[in-house]
Amino acid sequence: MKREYYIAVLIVIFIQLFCYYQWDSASIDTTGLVILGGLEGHYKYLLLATWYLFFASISFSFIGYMRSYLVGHGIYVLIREKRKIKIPLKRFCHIFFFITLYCFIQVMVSIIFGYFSDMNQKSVHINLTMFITSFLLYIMTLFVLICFQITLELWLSEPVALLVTNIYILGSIIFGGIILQEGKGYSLLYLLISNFSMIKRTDIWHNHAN
Amino acid sequence: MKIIVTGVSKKIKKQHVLNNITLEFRNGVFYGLYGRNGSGKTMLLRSVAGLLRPSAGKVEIDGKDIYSENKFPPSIGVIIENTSLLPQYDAFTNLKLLSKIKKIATDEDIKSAIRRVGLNPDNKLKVRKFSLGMKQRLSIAQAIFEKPDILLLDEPTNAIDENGVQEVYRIIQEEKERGATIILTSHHKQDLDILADEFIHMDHGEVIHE
Repeated sequence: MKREYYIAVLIVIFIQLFCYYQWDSASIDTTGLVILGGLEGHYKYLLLATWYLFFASISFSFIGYMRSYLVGHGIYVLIREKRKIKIPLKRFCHIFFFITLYCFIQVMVSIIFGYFSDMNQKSVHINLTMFITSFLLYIMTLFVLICFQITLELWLSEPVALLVTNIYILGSIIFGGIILQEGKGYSLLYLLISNFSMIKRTDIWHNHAN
Repeated sequence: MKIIVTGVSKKIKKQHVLNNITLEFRNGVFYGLYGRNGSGKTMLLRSVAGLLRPSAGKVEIDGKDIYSENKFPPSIGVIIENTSLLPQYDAFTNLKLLSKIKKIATDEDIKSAIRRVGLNPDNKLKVRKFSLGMKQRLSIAQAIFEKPDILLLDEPTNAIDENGVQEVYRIIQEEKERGATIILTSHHKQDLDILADEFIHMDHGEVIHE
């Protein structure tokens, strides 16, 4: 991946946090769960859009990540590998590593930002079990979506695969919100993988709280 | 290395790009593969390189079916259309990066291959600033620097001037004398007359005559 992509994702993390506090200053994150928990169904779409920014930047940075091994320079690399499965496995491992790294940075920045913004408490309260559960869910959701995008690239061109994935994400966020607000058609939620774990929209949050 | 292609067919979007191809490529022989655009030359090279799984038939290298074993040929150098090198690096760095996969070529092997194609291994000029001819020469160096047993060259003299073409022919002749099995494609039989030991004419995905 190009260095410019790493920098772009980092910039987006800061923009996202800035937007979030700008439009929802009541939520100060000293738990790490503001990012990981997602937003409840009644939240305004402007705020949802700030959440989408992070996925959009990751999605863009992985554009052509697998397809580049089917054409051009990738062929030179590919034929030098002994086993055909090695390259795809290495790529999936790279994707998982980078998503974990990006998410870790995002959550840490959010906690640090929250810590310095919280003038009253000056402390960090992390429920470790809940944090780990939601962090893993968050990473896995992003990983599945990026895998969906790079799999599409095997049949479609890179920009079309990127577009389809991002339309799907936006559709998931919007229709997921509508379904939760209407209170019916919950089974359709299984088809809507949103760009963040949205544990506040599911039973996971309540199960842990209870 | 002996390559046996048995009943290989490939159908893409309901069109036969390869139709029941059966050929035998003997060790150390130079094969000239010719035919007009879309005749299936590149597809045949791709299937021998392990890059295109045939819809039917098999490709055996030294008695091993490369598709059932899910492996690439063990010792192969290729130039296949649309291949390119990394534009942000110079010639030596490009080959050095590729050499790290198999770890069989020394720095001297890399430099020697770059010199053989008429380029300077100590030149720090980035590949993005290379002319088309220089890029094609470097692609040839990429194919030969690990001294492979099989060389698959898809129109390697594209974009190279008349003197350069003679140099490329000389290099290919040297590779043949080293004992490599070479399959070289061209649109015109005349291009192959001087060098090739045997000729294969393809049209509409079929072998017209050997």
